Amino acid sequence: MANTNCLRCLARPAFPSPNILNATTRAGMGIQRRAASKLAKPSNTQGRKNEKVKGQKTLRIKKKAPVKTGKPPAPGERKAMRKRIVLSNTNALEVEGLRELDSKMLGEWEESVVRELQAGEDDLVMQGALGLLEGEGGEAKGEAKVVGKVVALMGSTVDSLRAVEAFKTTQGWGLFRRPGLLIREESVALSKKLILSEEGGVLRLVIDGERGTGKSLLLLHAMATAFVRGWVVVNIPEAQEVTNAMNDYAPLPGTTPTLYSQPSYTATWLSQINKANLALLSEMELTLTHNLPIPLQSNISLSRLCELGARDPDVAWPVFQAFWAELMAEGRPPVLLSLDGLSNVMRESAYRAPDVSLVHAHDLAIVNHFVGYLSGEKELVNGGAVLAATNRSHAPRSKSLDLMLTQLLEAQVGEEEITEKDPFEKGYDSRVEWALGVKEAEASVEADVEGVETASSPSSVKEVKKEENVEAAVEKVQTVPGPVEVLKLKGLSKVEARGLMEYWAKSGVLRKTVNEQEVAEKWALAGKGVVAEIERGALRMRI
Amino acid sequence: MAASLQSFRFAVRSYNCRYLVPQYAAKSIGRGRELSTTPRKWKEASVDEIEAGLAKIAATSRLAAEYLRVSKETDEELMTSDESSQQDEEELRQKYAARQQPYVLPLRRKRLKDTFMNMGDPEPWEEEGMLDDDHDDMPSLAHGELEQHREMRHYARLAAWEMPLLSQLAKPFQPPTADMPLRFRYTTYMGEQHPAEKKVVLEFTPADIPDLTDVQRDKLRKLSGVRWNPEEDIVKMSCEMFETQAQNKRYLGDLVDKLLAEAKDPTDTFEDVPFDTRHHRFKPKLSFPEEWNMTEQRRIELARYRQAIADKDRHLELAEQLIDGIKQIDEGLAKQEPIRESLPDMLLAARRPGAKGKRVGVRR
Repeated sequence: MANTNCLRCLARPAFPSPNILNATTRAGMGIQRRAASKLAKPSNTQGRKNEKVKGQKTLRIKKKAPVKTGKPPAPGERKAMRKRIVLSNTNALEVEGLRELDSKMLGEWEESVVRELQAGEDDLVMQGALGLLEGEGGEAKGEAKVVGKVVALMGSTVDSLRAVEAFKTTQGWGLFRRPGLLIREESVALSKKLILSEEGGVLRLVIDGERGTGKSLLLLHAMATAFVRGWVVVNIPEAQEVTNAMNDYAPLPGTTPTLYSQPSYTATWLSQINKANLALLSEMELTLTHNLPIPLQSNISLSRLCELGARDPDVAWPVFQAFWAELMAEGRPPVLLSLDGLSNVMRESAYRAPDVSLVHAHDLAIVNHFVGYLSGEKELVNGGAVLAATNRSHAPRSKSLDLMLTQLLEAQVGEEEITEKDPFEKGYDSRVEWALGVKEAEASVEADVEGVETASSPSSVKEVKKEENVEAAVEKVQTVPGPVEVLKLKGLSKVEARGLMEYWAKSGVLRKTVNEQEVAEKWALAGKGVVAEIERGALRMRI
Repeated sequence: MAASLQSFRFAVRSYNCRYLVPQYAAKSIGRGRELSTTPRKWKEASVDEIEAGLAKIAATSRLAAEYLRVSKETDEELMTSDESSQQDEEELRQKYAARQQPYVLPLRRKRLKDTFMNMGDPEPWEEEGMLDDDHDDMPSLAHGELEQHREMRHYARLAAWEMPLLSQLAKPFQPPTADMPLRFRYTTYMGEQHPAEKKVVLEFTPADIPDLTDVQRDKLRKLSGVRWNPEEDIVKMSCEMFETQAQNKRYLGDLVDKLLAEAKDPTDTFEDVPFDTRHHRFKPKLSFPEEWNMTEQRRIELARYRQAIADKDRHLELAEQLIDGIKQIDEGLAKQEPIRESLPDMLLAARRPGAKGKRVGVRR
């Protein structure tokens, strides 16, 4: 741009271009500087709005940029608005006579459980659902009164559940004055099983069912029971957040096969655990020594330990491991490990390993931890439960998971013909089958090794081995954990549906007379009582 | 009968293939009319000839004698009648003829042949060389109709007299025995040449093959692959690779031998190979569940149940435990009102006497 002369013919432009105002041009202009300056800087007074080029008919309207009024939302505000949970609505009526899910109610159920055990029924097995404990006389009536009724949650329980993200935005909590929970037969049975597993005998359960049958709410009920009974609750509210590669991850050194930790997720998780179980954790102090990257005082509470992990993502995973070791020490309360969205966890995650292969979900440290307890490989020393709920809307298909759940259900019911694996199907995952199936090989191998070692003389080897084998067989029965239990939720019974609809009517959200006809109509339209469909028919889709 | 005749006739008539041997070509049944160039007029017999013939047989035939007698009498009558009346008749006849002209066809314009071969032809008229129409015959289409009629009668004759004789050739059906497990299907196109007439289709079921153990039978099924229908347990295969049916059948037979030899081979029993039925779609056999049948017992049960729920509702209504959503809302709102009523008093109580406070509107 320095020289506008044509280099070939050395012709010079007649007038210098308006953009160049170097010394030569300025000197050349001289007297006609003003005119030239006008040429040099075309005035913008008229604006380019309606500039008419000779010979053309044009209308050029410059588009004005939209004026931004108001303050834009702060980062994270929109997400918070989207994920906010409203648990109370003052426009709804207050329901009188609502019982609370408190220690008194759970105490009643505990008594009935104890009575059952004394009566000699050790096994709680029923078709499909968990053991429906039918007591004799008094206690059955007491339970029967509560089944089909809605109970309110205590304030402290609500706070803990909110901290643990047990409430979901799709559930209609914002319609009522107080958060309430319908007591179903399955929820009573589940609470009783949880109470039983306080003394060891860990409950490992998968809650399955069609879309809208109340799996997440049953999990919430279990968590509420655990909070009331004084357990420590560790919950993974949405498994897809762990596996969909939206959180940072890093390989853990010294692990073969490589495990990947998720620092920021673990940090938020620790803060949730702390907030939910604050009352319990603040009273427990460190009893073991840990080797952590951060300096630790030896007499801090577990709550403080969680806080330390929550504020620094880099040390979050080692802090969690230390926290967990503390919980598994002696004298600690039982632990409830729960997870919502099992199908996300029973397949490959969206993370990539350095060789661009997909990282299996079981190779993520958090999931590995959970699956270790769900499969029975590790045991909750102080008792407790490991619960997992599947989700059927917006869930990836896991063929192995579907197959395992079908097989486990059939085995539970006692059917002879168990669905076999399709020999021509490619999408099976052996790790999933291991996680949910029966583990046999390891225990028997251990027993054999023991047998060989204790044999002294060669002549008595065979005899000793036989004895050892018998003992090993006995051991095998005791040490090998059984398969995971499956609870398949179906629709509500008419009694339960009626109780729920009466609660809605009392809250003022259902403007109908709740008689048998109305209940039967809504129940039938909901595909034999699927809860979400009853809610949709009665509350949401109102003409 | 007519329909079967038609189809029979059609089947026979459709032998119009180029490659047909002349001896099998269809022969016209009726006497075909030849095109003649010389006009042949129908010669009318004269009255005298007729009377001469009749006189010959008058001796035997009563009718002929009667006719001759009557004709003689009329002739005599005519002879004795007036000549004037004859003349009147002649005039009448001429007048009648004059009034009604004999119908003469209008002259036809000579038409040109519309082919390009006209070029160089001095008089390329279309109807050149054709005979004048003497109106002494039916048009050719009419001849065709008669021909068709003759044909139909021919086939009717066959159907009535010769087809029943086929029952003498009937053989009783012998169902296949246990030593005939293979079933072959051949196709004929009734003399017509068709590319699929040499195809042979074989069907058999592995269960019927003798001297096979269960393991070998299963191996046979697995070896058949997609030719095996798992629902019916039938292996079906076809061959049209060769030029004759015999060759194709031989090939299929050899194939079966090879399959059986492989099935009996003990080196690999195929026991670890699962059955592959992906090529077959099993039809779901649905049947109405027996539990759903309406019986008297069920009817009684339902009636009792409906009575029970109606009673339950009535009891609850009497005990005022039946919950009505709208009533609940009204009651609930009524309960809330008094709480709001009490608020202004509280506010008023807070005001100090003498102080000019702001007037606050209470939200009702």
